[in-house]
Amino acid sequence: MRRPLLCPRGLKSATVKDYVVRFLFGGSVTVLTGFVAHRFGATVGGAFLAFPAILPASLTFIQKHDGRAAAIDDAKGAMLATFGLAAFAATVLTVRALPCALALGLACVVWLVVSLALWGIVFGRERPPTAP
Amino acid sequence: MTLTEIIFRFLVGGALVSLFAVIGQVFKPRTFGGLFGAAPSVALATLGFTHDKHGTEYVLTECRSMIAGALAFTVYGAACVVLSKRENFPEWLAAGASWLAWGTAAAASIGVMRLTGIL
Repeated sequence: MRRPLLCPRGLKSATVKDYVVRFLFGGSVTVLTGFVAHRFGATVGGAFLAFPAILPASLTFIQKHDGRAAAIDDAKGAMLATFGLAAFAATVLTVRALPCALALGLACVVWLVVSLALWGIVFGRERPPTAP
Repeated sequence: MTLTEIIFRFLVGGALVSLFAVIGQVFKPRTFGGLFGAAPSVALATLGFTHDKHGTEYVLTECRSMIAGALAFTVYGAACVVLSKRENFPEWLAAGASWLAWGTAAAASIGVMRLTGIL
């Protein structure tokens, strides 16, 4: 059975530029979402709450540092977490009577639980790679 | 949107997206780190403001629509995987071109949800 490992060394491979690009990208997408909702209404704006904001920058970074196969694996993981993202939205819809901050906190927990469960089902049974 | 709101959204959104990107970077294997590439960072940065400004009903409409966006994100991820397997295709182009897949799938999902009365 494969288990996720904490590997802080991964942070060292990123440059200041990589972090700045992600920050600018994330900030821009959040502002864009606000403009879209303002211009086109909640229905169109809501879809942008699940806009792939981090992934393009992350995939480019991963391919540069760890290769194409690692970038493909990253995209596969993100695909699983999109079901968690749908569960996040469904949770906010379900617990509408709760205060907003509490509803968002609970929805985050649901996102994490659904994503981890799906990862365990799909990738958790893979054998870890053996050292050469 | 006021300038203050734009600046606040930018800073909160940038910080949350960066935070989830860093969390995803410190985990191995890559399939696990990739989970944080679809974290609800933009939703967290946005829904609090939206609730204060427009109220609960507006947030609920956005969340119904967000489900359509999340389904489109699944299509986006699949498009990234397919395009990334092409050796002559740079990753930035694969990720960027996949936005078209996201937009198309999101529009189709919203259309279906409207037809079925969900939206």
